Amino acid sequence: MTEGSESHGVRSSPLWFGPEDRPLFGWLHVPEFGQARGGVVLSPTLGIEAVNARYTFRCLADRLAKAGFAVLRFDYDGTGDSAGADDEPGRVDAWLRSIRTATALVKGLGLFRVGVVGLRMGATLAAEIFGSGSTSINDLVLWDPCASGRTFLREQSALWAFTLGAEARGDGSIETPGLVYDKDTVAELSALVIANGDGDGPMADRVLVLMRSGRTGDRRMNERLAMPHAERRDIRGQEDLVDVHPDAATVPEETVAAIVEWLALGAETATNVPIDPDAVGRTRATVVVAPDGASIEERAVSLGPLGLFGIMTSRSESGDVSGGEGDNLAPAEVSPTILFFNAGVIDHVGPARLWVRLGRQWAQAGLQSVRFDLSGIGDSPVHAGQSSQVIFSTEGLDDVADVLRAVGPGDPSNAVLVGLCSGAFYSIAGAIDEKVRGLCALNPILTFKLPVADSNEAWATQEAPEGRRVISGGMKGWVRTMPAYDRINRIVKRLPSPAWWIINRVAVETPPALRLKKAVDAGVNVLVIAGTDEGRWLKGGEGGTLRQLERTGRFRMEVIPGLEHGLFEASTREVAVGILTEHVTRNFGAPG
Amino acid sequence: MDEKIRSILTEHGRFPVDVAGIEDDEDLFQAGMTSHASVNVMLALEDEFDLEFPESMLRKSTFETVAAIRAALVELAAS
Repeated sequence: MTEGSESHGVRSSPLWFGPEDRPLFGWLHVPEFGQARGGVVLSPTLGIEAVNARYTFRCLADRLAKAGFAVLRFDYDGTGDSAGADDEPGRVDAWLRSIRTATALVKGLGLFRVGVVGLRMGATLAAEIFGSGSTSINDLVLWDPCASGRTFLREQSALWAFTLGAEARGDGSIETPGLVYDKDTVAELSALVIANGDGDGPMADRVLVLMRSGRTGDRRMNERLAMPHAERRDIRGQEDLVDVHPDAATVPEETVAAIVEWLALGAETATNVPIDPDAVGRTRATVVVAPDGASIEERAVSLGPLGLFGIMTSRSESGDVSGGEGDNLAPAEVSPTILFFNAGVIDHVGPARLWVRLGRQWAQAGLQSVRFDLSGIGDSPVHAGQSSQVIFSTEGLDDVADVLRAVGPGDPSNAVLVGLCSGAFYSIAGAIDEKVRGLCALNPILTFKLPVADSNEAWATQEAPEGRRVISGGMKGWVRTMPAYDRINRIVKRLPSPAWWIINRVAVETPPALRLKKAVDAGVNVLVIAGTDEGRWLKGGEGGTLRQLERTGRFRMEVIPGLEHGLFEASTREVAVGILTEHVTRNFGAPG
Repeated sequence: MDEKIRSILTEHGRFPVDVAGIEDDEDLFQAGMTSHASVNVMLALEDEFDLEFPESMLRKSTFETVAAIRAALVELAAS
């Protein structure tokens, strides 16, 4: 298990809670001195918005804990690290039930006040529960609430249509970035409305409604929320939290401060109650029961000297998840451990929750995996002096070595590294350094100048950081300093392949294909999956090199036409998943 | 109508350039409007003109230029 981490007066601990056969995952943040004057449940929004807001929720939880609250942030059933899948029936009921379960857990701590903070659809779901009067709480914060599930779906599907030019699916389902809501879920979600007449309960003793500055809000929602005990405030900065690509999301400091202050005011006279976080929830859980009856078990792990956060997924033949405490991460079998890397600042659940899904699926084939967060990303701490939410960091390269040693202390090379975009960058670096058994690089970025696809506006270019370890592979310094570099770079990307051969040798520090060659030469079994643009960039001028690599039998490159860079698009993502799964289980699956 | 459209584009389009300098038939996405911003433009247009774009209009081309937005609004008003 992983110990709770303590920093700046807060202790935060990962936990599973709720039904044994359908566990929810969350983090409990408590004041370091072990007492709290109130409890708060943080209800996230859905889909890509939840990805954007994950770090903000972590910050809010920490700040509330510093203000004396015990705070539970959690993932709804079928989302994040909780059990279940997003394509199962009864999603809306499952999400509502998740909030009730989380609230019951916090209420069970015996605190004098309990509040809920719901963001966007989290607010809509919370209003549905607490507006009905079936459960009572003291404080409710409705943070930029969606007037209805329909408005949320409409905005999300429009976003996807405007981003990719996607058409309506025609079967009643709706695709949004990273998530497809099936017909039934669309109907259930659309019926969820914050409006006069839909339950007339007071929702809570105190209600704070935070509306985006400049937006009037839905008339019927405004009428419903115009309660005498409800305070309405305008907030700024919401666009920079949810209306941007995840890598660009920023914490809305003013809003976070306002929420902490408002909740603290309500708990001003509340008495402190002792809290023992070790006695709350469970440290491991069975998240899936395989068709053959084996349990797929997950547990939180602390990796390396810094204590990077990860979740290990493995198959348990006995189904017994009660024993085996400790951080012995060494795999018992010969099979390598799969390591899933962050993609940009997306936390360890992976793009479109892919690392959770694949980890659990591959565990059924006997493969153990760890999805983890690099320092400063997701739920991992930062090194001294390091900034959070930085995609490319020199510390990240050291993290990879630390994680490999933590997962395989006897043989750090007995691993298969799986990464997308920046995660592929780190995977390739780790594969070369540690000569691991396998590498699966999806839409790999090998330089700090990303090839921005037209349909993928948000993957902004990254400048090389200053640091003690130089990451090579980009354009040579003299090229980057040219006055018209950006324009030249755009032109160069359109040049035919033979021209690239020359450019790679004159202007590029380490051509992409040569970087992959280093991994293959180190004995690593390499799979590269790339979209059209990324594939062209990787192959440019290096067709001969790649054919040479393929002849070794340790290199395979698959180009999937139209594969969206971040794997948020469902149909091409499934093609990639099929190739990836077949490759991993065939080459690294458990014998027999 | 054009004035209102441009006012909404200025407020919600998050352009790196002055909206006044964008031609009627100039591509708004090329001019710097992101997909996220275009959704906010859509919502603001619905608020301002008290209408709802039908699913068939929820496509990039509807919001690609000032002229396209104007045409969509005129079509909705006529229906």
